[in-house]
Amino acid sequence: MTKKSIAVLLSAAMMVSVLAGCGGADNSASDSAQTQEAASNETAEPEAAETAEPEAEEEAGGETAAAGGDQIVLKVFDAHAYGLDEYAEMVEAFEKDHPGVTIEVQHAANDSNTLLQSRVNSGDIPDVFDVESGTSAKAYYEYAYDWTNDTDVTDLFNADALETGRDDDGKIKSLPWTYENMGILYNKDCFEKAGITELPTTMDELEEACKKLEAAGITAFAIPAKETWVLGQLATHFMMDKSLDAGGTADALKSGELQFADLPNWQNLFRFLDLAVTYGPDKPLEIDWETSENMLANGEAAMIHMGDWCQSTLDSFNPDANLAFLPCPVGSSADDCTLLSSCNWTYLVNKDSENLELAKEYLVYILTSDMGQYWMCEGVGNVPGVKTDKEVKGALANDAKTYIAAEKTNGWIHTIAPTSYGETCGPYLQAYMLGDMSADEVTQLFQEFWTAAQ
Amino acid sequence: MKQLRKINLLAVIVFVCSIFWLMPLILIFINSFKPYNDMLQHFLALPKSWSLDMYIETWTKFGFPMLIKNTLLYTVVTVLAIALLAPMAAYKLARTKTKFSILCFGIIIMPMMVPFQSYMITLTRLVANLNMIGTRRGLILVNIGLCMPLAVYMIHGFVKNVPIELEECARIDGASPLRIYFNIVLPLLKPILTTVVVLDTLATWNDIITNQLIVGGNAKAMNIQNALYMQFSAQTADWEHALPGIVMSMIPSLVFFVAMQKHIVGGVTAGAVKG
Amino acid sequence: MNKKKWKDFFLFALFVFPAVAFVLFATDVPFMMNLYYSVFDWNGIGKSMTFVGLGNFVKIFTNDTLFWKGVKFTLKFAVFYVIIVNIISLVVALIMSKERKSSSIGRAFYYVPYIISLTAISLIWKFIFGAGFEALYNITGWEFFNWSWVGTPKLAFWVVVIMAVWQNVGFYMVNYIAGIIAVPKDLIEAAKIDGANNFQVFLKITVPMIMPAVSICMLTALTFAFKLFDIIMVFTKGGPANSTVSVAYNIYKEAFVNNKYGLATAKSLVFVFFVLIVTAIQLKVTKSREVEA
Repeated sequence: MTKKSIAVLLSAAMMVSVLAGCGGADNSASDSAQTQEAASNETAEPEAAETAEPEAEEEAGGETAAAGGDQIVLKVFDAHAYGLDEYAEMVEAFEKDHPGVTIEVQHAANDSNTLLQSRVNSGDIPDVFDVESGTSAKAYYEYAYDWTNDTDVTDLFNADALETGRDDDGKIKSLPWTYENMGILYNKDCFEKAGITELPTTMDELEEACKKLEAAGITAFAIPAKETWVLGQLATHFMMDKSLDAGGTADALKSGELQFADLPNWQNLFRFLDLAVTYGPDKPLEIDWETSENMLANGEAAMIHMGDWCQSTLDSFNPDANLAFLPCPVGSSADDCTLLSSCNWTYLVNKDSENLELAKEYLVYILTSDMGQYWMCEGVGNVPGVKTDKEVKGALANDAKTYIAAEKTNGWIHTIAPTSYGETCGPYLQAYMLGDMSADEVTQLFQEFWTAAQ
Repeated sequence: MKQLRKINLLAVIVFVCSIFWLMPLILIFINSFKPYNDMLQHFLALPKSWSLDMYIETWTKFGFPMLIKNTLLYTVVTVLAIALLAPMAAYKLARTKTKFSILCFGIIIMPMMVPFQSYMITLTRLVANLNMIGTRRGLILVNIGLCMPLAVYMIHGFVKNVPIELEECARIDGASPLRIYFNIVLPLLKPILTTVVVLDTLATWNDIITNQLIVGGNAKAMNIQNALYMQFSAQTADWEHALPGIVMSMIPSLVFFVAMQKHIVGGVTAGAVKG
Repeated sequence: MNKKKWKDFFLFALFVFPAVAFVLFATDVPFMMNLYYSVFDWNGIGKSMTFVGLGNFVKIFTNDTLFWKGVKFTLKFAVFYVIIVNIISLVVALIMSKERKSSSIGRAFYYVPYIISLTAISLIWKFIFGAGFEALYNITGWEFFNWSWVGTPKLAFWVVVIMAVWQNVGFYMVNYIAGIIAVPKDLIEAAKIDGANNFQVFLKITVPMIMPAVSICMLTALTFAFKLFDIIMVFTKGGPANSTVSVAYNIYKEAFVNNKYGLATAKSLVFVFFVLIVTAIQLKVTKSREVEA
């Protein structure tokens, strides 16, 4: 009984302290909480077991927002969920060099846009944060510190990587993270088993390869068709005009200068999707990225469409998988097949940050220092946007390097496309795969989406 | 006799079906012991080993003691506040038949019709204006407000069935309104209150989105689900840590639920209002 | 007299205002604050907004097929969900309301979904419709298990219904049990002595007595159905081919993916207005039944 009444008293006291924080409107509530004490034996009964946790309650009163004394809290928002262990090491090293500084990181990998948007809106803008470059990033540039004149910093980066962080006036508003490459990923062992010695470079050869794989009892394609963003990315291969590269193609599409119906390789997208359905798993639209990558790594499927960001997942499925990039065949010429390569994620510093200098220092630290390069090369396994001689861990990233060296890459269209490109257009391609829409209807809808944004 | 057998058959079906409800729990449990690849390849199979390594790793890596403390604090305070305030409001609203009372009831249950997604930005902004972003206090206040509508609505429906005669007798005997409420009305509301408490406890315990919005990156104030959810992105999923974490976070709610189970039944019988 | 009035008001305030204050703070006020944006074109991020008057509303009613597709989906879902979940949970409650040990265990089973966090739910269902159905297909050979449930628009609708029912049956069941147990036993005995069979007893005595529970369950089911979001967000993601886009999901996407915050706000306003009408009708209908009883 005594234990119970202590619990009740404690909880009532806690309630009062909590309610007091709510401001004037709640005075009546705290009154009632006090008058409640005697009677709350009844109500509190079910929870009595849980209330008897004194340490939990002490916290309630003592907490305030972390800013106090000489302590500086740097608020960081990070949209990645890989290389987290290395990231933590990196933060620890920074904090050690900067006594009194705490780095508070929100790793919001899922729904990162939503959370960042609500933080920015509520005035709780992180000091350092990252978004996808291109259209998404531009929405945040009005909050971003302008790096254009910090040439000692910008000189550290590769020029093409730096390009992804420019706003419409050519100012450098954000700094690049790592290169990411995408295309078809294939399992070398599967190709070998099916007797494919030459990589397919045209649509006809691709179909030939699918037939050979099928004959060998291997699922040729496991395109993650459940993910609309993958389909959106896939489609950009077939939009690409090599002479214009990504930026030029996207601009021409937006302005209507290029029409989807006239794109030389566009119809092959539908041929590609047909192949993915015919030579794919029984239930193609149930394949999500996880299943897709798993099938590839275990040799159950020979090809998927993905990028080198999935390296760590592939490794965890099967570290011995023999995987490589296949530049996506889009037409009848081997010259047209490329990998798409870009620095997707880009980091911004909040220009109104209370600790602007520290925020800048931190960002330069994570993107260029040895620790930062260790995070990107080892933890994430990708080629950093900063100039570096470091070896990169990821096998796919290394494979992509050869194509970059051979200039068989183009930039990314889907990030500079009109807002929500993948989310809007991906479902159209799903509808095509289901047979609910014809190629012409899909082409029409793509056209409308791109020109409507203008 | 025939009738009886028919009912038994139905009962058997219902019990068999309940396995369909239980199975996910079992699947989560067995898969929490598997490496990522095995989980995807053989989801239904038993794990190769029952090693607790990943549990221990998850426990230390995520700082579970802290997370449990936070989650417990949020749940206990939220549920206590609901258990105190919701029946008071519901009772008074059901007994007062003025326009103002109906208006108050409308204000309270209106949020039941509004999707949370449509005002979460302004909610975050409001909390920020009150300087409570990243604090436990802010989160608790929001949680209470979010749980309140359904709680009041459910209890309100129940109060309408509680006979008013008992209260009137007590009033004639000179009992104060507060006394009447706490000594006579509240005990009668116990069954529905138990249901509300169970519901809100589980909801607060498993909350992700409010925690993400209000507490944000303040690692000291995160709850279990938020900490686990941070390991997921559109393109990576750390199930090897998430599943043991989820199992561990489920144990308290499971224990709580089993303990309360008796009360829901018992409470309902005891509180059964005799017409 | 005036003094008594003040005293009454004070008591009312003491009992009701704390709850009102919390709700105002956490939902009503933010929602009202939100309405302001419905007349602006705003991306939800930047500092600048353009006033567009009723432009957003015009757009919703003239040029937004996905939103109306979502409305259609949500309505269809609401109809099936409300009916199915209420029938199943009532049947389960009738059986589980008997006082025996197995009932108490059975009841706990139906509550399991409330214990599982949302993160795990998508995982579980992916495999139930994947590996689970495949195994059942291999055992039974029924084509039913070989359908592409998640990958076909028509079936994906039922996937969402099944998941929603699965997730929530426990809640309605508990409500119904509370109602059923409250039915006076002597009334049932008396009816049985008069020669009524079980079904008649159920129809003439139990049903009228549990009408309050029915109206609670109907309204909560309806509001849940209209706000359907979580399952879509974690599992179907609106797919395949936009076949499972609910209104709440559409609003969410509009605000956070398409970056049209003003438009999203206008949509939520239209939607809430619509929901209020439907629930008002629903309340009227069940209320009239209750009075009859």
